[in-house]
Amino acid sequence: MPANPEFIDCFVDHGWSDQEELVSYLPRGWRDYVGTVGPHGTGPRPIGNRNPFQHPQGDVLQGSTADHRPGSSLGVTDLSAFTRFTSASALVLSCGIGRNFPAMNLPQYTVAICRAINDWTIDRWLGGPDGRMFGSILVPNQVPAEAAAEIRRASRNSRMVQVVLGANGLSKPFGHPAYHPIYEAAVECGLPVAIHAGSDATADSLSSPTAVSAPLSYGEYAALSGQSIMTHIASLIGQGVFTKYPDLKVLVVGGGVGWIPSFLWRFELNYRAFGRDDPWVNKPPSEYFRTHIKVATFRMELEAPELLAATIGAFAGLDNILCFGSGFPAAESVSIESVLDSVPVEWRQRVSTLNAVELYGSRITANAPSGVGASVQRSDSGRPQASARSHPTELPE
Amino acid sequence: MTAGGYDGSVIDCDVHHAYGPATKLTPYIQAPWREFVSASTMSLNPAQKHYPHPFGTNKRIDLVDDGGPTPGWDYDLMASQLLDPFNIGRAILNYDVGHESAHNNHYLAAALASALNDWSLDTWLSRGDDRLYGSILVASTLPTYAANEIRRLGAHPRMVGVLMVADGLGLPFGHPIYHPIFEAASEFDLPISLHFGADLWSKQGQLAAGGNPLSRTEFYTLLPQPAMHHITSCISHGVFDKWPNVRLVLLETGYTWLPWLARTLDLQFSNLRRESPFVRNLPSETILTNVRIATQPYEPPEHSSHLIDLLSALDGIEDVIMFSSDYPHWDIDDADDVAKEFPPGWRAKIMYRNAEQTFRWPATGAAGSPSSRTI
Amino acid sequence: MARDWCGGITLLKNDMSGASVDVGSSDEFMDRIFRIVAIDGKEFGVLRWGEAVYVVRNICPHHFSPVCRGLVRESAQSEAPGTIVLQDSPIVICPNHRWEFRLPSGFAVRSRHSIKTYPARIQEGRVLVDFGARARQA
Repeated sequence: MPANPEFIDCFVDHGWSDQEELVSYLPRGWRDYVGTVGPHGTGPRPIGNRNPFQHPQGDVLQGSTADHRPGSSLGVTDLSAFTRFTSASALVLSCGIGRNFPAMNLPQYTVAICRAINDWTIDRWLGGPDGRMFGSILVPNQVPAEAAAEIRRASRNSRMVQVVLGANGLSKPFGHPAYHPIYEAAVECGLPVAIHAGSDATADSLSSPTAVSAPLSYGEYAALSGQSIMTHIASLIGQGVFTKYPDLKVLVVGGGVGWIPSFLWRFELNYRAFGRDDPWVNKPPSEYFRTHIKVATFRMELEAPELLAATIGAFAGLDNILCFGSGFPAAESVSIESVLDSVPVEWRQRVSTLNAVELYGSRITANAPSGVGASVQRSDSGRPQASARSHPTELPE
Repeated sequence: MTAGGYDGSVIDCDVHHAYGPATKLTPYIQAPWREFVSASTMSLNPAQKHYPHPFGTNKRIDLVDDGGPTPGWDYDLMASQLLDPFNIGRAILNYDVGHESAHNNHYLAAALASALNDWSLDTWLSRGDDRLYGSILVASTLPTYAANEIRRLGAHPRMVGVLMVADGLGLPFGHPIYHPIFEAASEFDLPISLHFGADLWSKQGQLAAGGNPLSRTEFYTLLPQPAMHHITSCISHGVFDKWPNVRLVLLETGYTWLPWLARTLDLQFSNLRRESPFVRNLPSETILTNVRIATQPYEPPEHSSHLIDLLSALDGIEDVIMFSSDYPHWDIDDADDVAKEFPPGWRAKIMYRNAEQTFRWPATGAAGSPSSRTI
Repeated sequence: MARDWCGGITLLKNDMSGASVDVGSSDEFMDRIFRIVAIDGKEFGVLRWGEAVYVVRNICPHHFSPVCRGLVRESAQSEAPGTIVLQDSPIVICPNHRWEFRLPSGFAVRSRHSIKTYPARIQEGRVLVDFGARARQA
C-alpha cells in the first residue's frame, strides 16, 4: 500500500456550526419564518428535521465537528483540520443532516431551504482556494418541478458534481414517475444522482427505512440500511428510468455491498417470470445495474472479510462499481487505507479514483488541482476555480 | 422418480391446501361468528396490497385440468402431483395461504384461524395418510388469542409447528407485544413459521423499505425484506434468549440473502448489545441455532459456483436450509431440481434432516425415522 | 374457452425425418390454443395462429416442464415506460415459472434459452410438420 494514496471521496458531510449560518442564505421572508432569538423564551425554529436513529456512541467521531449544539448539522465545518484528506484530490460534500430536509411537511419551505443549502455550499465551500471541494445539489424532491429547476440553477456552478435526493418526500420508491423530472434535469446538466441510506428514516416520510416498520434500535437500522437502497434500485430499473434516461448514472451510499448478489439473482428470477408487468424493462436487471449504478464504500462490510470475499466471488464486476466514500464524520466512516486493504490489489485505482471519475466526468477532472487518476485526461482549463466569495444574490438566476 | 443425486425421503415444509368455497369452512367457525359469516355477504379475505397475479391465478397452470379438481383442494390430486412422484415422506400443510387470519376485524381473524385449524385436522390430517402434517395458524393481531390457540392444539400429534402469515400490528415480531405467542410455542416445543414475510396483508405493515413496491416484479424481488427484519428483531429483542427452544422458520422468501444478514448483524453486535440486554451471542450464531429457512423460490445464479461462494460466508448454512415446494403455486420448485443444486454432502440435510430436527414431529408414528431434536 | 391438453394423437409413423409429417386436419386445431400430439413417444404442441401454424417440442429448457401446457398470448412490448404495444405474434408461456418464448424462433423473451420449434404449414387443409429441421430462427 503506497503511503497517502490518492483518492476521490464521494461522501463527506460538510456542515454548519450554527443554523444562523445557513439561515442567512434564505430570502428575507423565509428568514423571518425561521425567526431569531427573542424575549420571553422565544427563539428560532429548528430549521430541519433529523434522523431518529442515533448511534449509541455518538453519531459523529470525537473531535470531528466544531459543535454538537442542537441545530448543528453533524457535518464537518473545517475540512483542512483533517490529515486523512491530505492526499484526496476531490471531496464531494454531501450536506449532512440537510439530506433529511426534502421530506419535511411544508413543501414550499423545503424548496427554500434546499436553495439556501446549495447557495451556502457554493458560497462557503466551493469558492475558496481549496481545489478539492466539490458540491452536491440538494433537491426538494417532493416538488419535482422545483427540484428540476433547482438542478438547472445550481448546476451552473461547475463545482456542483451531483444531485442528492435526500429524504423521500413522496414516500414512493425513487423510480416512481413523479420523480422523473429530477432525472431529466440531472441528465440534461450532466450530473449523476445520489441516493443515501436513511432516505426513508425521518418521521416525515410515510415510507420506512426497513420493511414492516421502522426498526427499534440503531443496530437494526444500520444492519438493514441496504433495504431502502434495494427498493429504490428495484424501482429505477422496474419503472424503466434507465430506458427513458439512458445517460443517467446513480450513486447509492450507505447500504454496504453484501446484499447485491442475492438481490440481483432474485430480481432476474422475477424479471423472467413477470414480463407482462413491465415490458419496458428491456435488459436483465444486472445489466442495468452494471451500466448505471455505482456503490459507495460507506458501511461496506470491511470487518466481515468472509462476506466480502463471498460477495466478490458471487458478483463479477464489483471492481467497476465501488467508489470510495468515507462518510466522514459519521461514527461508522471508513478510511481509504482500510478500504484499499480489503479489496484485491488490482482494484485499488478503480475504487480510489477511476470509478468516481467515470461517475462524475469532466466536472471533477477539469476542476481538481492535481492529476485525478494517472490515465485521465484533463481539459485545458485544468486549474481550480479560485473565485472570490460571492453574495448569494449575485448567483445567476 | 427420486430426487436428482438424492435418493431418500423428502420433507416438504410448505404445501398449500385449501377449503375451496367458503361454505366448506363455515361449519368449523365457532359461534357467534359462524352465524355472522353465514348471514353476511362479506368476504373472508382481508384487504391486501394490490399486486395481482398475472392471468388471475396463483396456481401452476398445467396442474389444472378444466372441469377437474383444483390443485390444493383435492387430496388425490396432491398425492398424484406431489407426494408420490417426488418421494415426499412428510408434507406440512399451510393453507392457501392462511390470510383469513389477517382479517381487519381482529376477533373474526382469530375465529377464522381456529376454524382453519379445525377444518385441516378434520378433512386432511385425520384421513390416515401419515405423510400429512399441519401448522397451527394464528392471528398475530391479538397475541393472547394466538397464544390460546397454540395451547388449544399444541399437543396434537399432527400439528408440527405454528404458522403466522401476517403481522397485523405493523411491528416486527421481536417486539414484546408478540411475546405471548413465542411463550406458548415454547411450551409445546413448536417452531414458528412466517410465510411470505407476513406483510402483504393488512394496511399496517410496510412491505418494503422506501415505500410500496411499484410492480409485482419489484414486490417479489423485495419480498425477503420483512423476513430480514423479523429475524433481526427477534434476535435483537430477546425472543431466542428468553425461549431458546423456539425456532423461527422463514417460508417462501428464498434463502440466498441469509449469509449477508448474519454477517451484517454481526458487524452491529456492539451497537445491538448497547441497546438491548438480550443480545449475548453473535447474531450469526443465533441464526444457526434458532433460524431455519426454506429453499423456495429457488433463485440460482447463472453459475452455481457463485452460489457456493455466497453461501460460504456463513459456515454451517447447510444445517439451516430446508426444502419446500410451494405446491400448487405457479413457481413450484421440484425436489429433483433443488437437490442437485447443492453439494452432495448437503443434500440429505436440506431435503430431510434439517426439517426433521426443526419441526415437532410426533414422538411415535411419524413417517420415516423418529423425530430427533437437537435443540 | 376450452383447452385441450389431452391430445394423444399417436401416429404410426416412426420416421420423422425428411418429408412432411401429417399431424391432422387443420380444423382439429383450435385457433391460438395448443393441442398436444404424441409422435413416437414424444410430445409436441401444435398451435394454430390464424393462417399460420407452429409446432413446439413440449419441453421447457428451464426445468423441463411441459411448456405447451401453459398459455399462449400476443406479444407485449414497450419502448416507453407505461405504454404496452401488442403485436399479432405468439408468445408461449410456460406453466412452471411462466417464462415466455417467441414463435417461430423459440427464443426466450428474457433469457438466452429457447424452446425447440419445427417448420410447419397448412396445406390443403392438412397440418404438415417438417421434423427434420429446426424452424427458421427469426
